[in-house]
Amino acid sequence: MSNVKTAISVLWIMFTFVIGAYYFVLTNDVQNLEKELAQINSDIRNDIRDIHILEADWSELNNPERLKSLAGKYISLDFIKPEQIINYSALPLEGELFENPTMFAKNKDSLRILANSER
Amino acid sequence: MVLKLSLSKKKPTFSYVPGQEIYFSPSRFGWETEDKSVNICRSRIMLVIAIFVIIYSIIIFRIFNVCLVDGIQFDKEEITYYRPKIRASSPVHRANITDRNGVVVATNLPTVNLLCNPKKVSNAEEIAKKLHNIFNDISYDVFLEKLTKKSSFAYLKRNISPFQQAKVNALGFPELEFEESETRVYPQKELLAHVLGNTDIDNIGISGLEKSLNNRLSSSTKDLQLTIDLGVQYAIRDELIKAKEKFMAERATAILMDIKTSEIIALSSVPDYDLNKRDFKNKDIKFNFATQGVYEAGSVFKVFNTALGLDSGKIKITDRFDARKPLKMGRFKITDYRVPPKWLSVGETLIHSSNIASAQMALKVGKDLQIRFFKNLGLFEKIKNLEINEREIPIYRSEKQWQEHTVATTAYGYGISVTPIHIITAFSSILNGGIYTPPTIIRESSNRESKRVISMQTSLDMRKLLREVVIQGSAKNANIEGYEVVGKTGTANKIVNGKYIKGKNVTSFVSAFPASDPKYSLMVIIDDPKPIKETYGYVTSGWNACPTGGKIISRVAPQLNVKPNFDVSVQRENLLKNFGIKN
Repeated sequence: MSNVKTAISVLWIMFTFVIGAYYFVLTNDVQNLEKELAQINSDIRNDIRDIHILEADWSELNNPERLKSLAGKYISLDFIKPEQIINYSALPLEGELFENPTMFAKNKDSLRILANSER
Repeated sequence: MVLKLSLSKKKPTFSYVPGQEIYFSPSRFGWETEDKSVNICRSRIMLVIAIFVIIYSIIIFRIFNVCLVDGIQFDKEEITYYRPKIRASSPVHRANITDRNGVVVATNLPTVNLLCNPKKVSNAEEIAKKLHNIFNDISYDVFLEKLTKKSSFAYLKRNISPFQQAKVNALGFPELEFEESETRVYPQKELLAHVLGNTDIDNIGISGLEKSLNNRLSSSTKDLQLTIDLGVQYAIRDELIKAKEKFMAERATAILMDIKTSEIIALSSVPDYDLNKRDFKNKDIKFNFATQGVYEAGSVFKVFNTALGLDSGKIKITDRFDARKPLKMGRFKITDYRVPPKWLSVGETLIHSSNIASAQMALKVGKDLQIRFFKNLGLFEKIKNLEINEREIPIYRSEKQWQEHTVATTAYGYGISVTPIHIITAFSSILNGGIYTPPTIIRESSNRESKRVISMQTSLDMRKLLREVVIQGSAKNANIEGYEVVGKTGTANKIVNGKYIKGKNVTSFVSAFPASDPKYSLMVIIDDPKPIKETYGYVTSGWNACPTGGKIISRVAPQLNVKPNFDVSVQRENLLKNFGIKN
């Protein structure tokens, strides 16, 4: 009888240690996760702050005056003029393009694009 | 004799015969024998152990179950409650302001303030010297004064950069402390100077939208979206700067408005200033002519006068007015400037901008209708609902003083002074089908009540009449091919210190496009333009404000996706000519 009691006691003590150890590991894991969460929150805050600053920077870089000067300097682009906007129906018909063969040959590529445009 | 003893609570009756042996049972007195007590004790302990074992087993089972098998099952509400919170809040405490496309035009940036407790500072001279080396804009004496102040707190420098913070840290003085702070920054610098206004060093709005919407901006971090389009704003400001330089004017102003919703797409006054420099001393550049410039607008008022005449039914579009000689009004004489002396139709009155004919029209309509109409157009009160803080009240005569000659002079824009924003809002209501809507500059604007001021038919007639002004009248220089501009010019003598100054004018051009279905209205004002060779010495609106308006329309209309209405066959001819196919 006493052997059984001892065995049960040992078993329970072992259980207690196992649970204790497991609980310790679990607590440790939770603490680590909380630290990780705090770090993530901190990173998010920093990222949001950086994005906020970059948005201001982006706005400054997109200042229309700056873009205009850069466009003029590197890609020769200017503001669109009203006469640059034309109707599809205003595009010349294929036959009209051959009225002056010399000029057609000169502007062949551009005119083909015009003639083949979707109407 | 039988002795009866009462030894039990329940049944206390015992019989005793003398000489009989008395048997004593402790159980009768509620006591247990030794063996029984131990047994009960054991069984109770076992019961307690069993309870503990059961509870403990449940806990163990649950721990294993949670940790190794299923995990914890939550319902939706519990998940929301227990889920780890990710705090993605804004790093600043004042909302951004953006244009209608979301480009940031005002934002707060996190910065750091440098401060100290002067009572704890022991080596003030050395610290002052080293700080002056880092912050050259603040003198050694100023730092020394702050470091030796008889108080327990002093700001040494506010809003320092991270680079400067690192340098101060490297000095290694424990007396120097840092405090997290914010500063308002305007990435577009002067582009929206008069609209946005400024905040003070504590981020409280002190002018412009920053002041009028201070509560909204400081109570929420949600972006405040404006109706302004930054690209259009830039184009307009650019043209205004060129016009101001070209005509050597004191200032130039323009407002572009969505004609149906009265949303302000662009509003610019030059000269302006860089908001980041926080120059609060120069009040002249802070003056927003668009909303503060109360002036006599001159002939642009003929638009309102004609609309009133037609809408009242007292004037028909076919009526004619005698403009052969000046109109005498008591001791005053109303004259015309370069108008053919003849009978003028309503259309010709506008085309030639005749004061005489306009005055006759107004006199025919009468004082009461005129006052009521101007009230309806909001010309007698500070412009309602507009969020810009700096707005002015029009100057006009009281109803008692509004006499016959006032009726006549207000017909062509004298005797009443309003701001440009009053004029463009009223003009929009005349051209958009007859509905007056108070202007706004923010997208989330509410409580704007629209009202009908003229009939749709009058509005359509006005479009036709004002289109003729651009085709053959004083606004020819704004006739941009394809955009069917309608408009009216106005030149008024400038008043300085209450007196009209000869040779000084304020010129205005108010317009809308395209005539067939107006989408946008534009007003351009040039203050005191000078005569130049290109204008043949003229300083009237048709030579300065009007061509400036034309340039603005040709530049911004494609940006605003307004399709030009060209003649297709002409366009095809031009295209072929460009390629040399046709001569």
